[in-house]
Amino acid sequence: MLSKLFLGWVSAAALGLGFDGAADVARIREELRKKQPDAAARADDALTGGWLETLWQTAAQAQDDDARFAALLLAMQVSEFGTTQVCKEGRGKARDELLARFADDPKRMGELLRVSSTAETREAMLARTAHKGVKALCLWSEAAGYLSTMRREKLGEEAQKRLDVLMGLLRGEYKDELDSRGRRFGDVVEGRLRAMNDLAVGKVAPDIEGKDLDGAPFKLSDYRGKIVVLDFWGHW
Amino acid sequence: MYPHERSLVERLKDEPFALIGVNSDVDVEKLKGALKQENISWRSFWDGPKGTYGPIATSWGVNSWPTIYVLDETGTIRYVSARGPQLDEAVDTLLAELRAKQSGGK
Repeated sequence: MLSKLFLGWVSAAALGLGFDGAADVARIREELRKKQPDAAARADDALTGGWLETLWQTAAQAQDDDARFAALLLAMQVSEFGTTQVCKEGRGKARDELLARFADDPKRMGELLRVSSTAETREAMLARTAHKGVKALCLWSEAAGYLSTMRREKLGEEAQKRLDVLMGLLRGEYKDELDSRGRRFGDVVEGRLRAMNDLAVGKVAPDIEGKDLDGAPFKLSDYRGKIVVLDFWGHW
Repeated sequence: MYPHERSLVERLKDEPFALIGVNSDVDVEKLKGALKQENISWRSFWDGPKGTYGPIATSWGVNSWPTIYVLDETGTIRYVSARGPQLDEAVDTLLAELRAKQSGGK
């Protein structure tokens, strides 16, 4: 039961759902940090130290891998927050234990990368894992960082080169490995490249042929002559 | 998001405008209850039982939901990821362009 609760909490937090509390905590912390940086650091340490202590115990007493993983992942998440020594050590310990136990488990490593997508985590993971799917997740995590930067600004020459290498690997050697949603990286990367090249502002949108929710066939191009808002959505 | 979409559709119901969805729900029957409840009147492609990794979303490189493209009357992509008031502004700009073109052509 405990493990289920933990898992639910962690995945909800990871997805950013039902986690409004975190935004408030972050805001209050930020204010405190501006006004009284020393006090803020002490509060961070106290808070994080207390949480981590509980989580180490939970992990040590865990009855199965799900519960152990959830506790350690939460410890990772809690300590990702801060820059103090307690946080740094907590982060290191959580990462080491997660990798020691789960480095060849792509599902769990995917969750770890969602919580911590830093170069430090990726490099440690790559050094520990023997699983090709986990390696692919690390490559994608790095590529995703560049892709999200690209939305705001043009990449530097080095970064662009590195991104090309990563995309090349993911659509080549790693194309049959699966991302966290179960899609082949080959398809994901082709889609992304197409999105960058063919789905940019100024390009004519490729047609979509399909069926509506009642099963009636129609095409995007049926709406030529109108201004169209194309909305990829889901009810969740 | 729905209230904004509803108001956009309502406000522009007499304009050459369409909101077209690509829906990534796994279970379309379950979704139908929500359509009624949320008063979702616009037409959507259903991207199939694979949900968020359906063929349309994958080939359009969609990785987060909602993702929004705004197309002009020629099917050209004019805005990507416009949200909230920016989305209204984008659509209004294109509608004004279209009106100017049509009255200029007469």
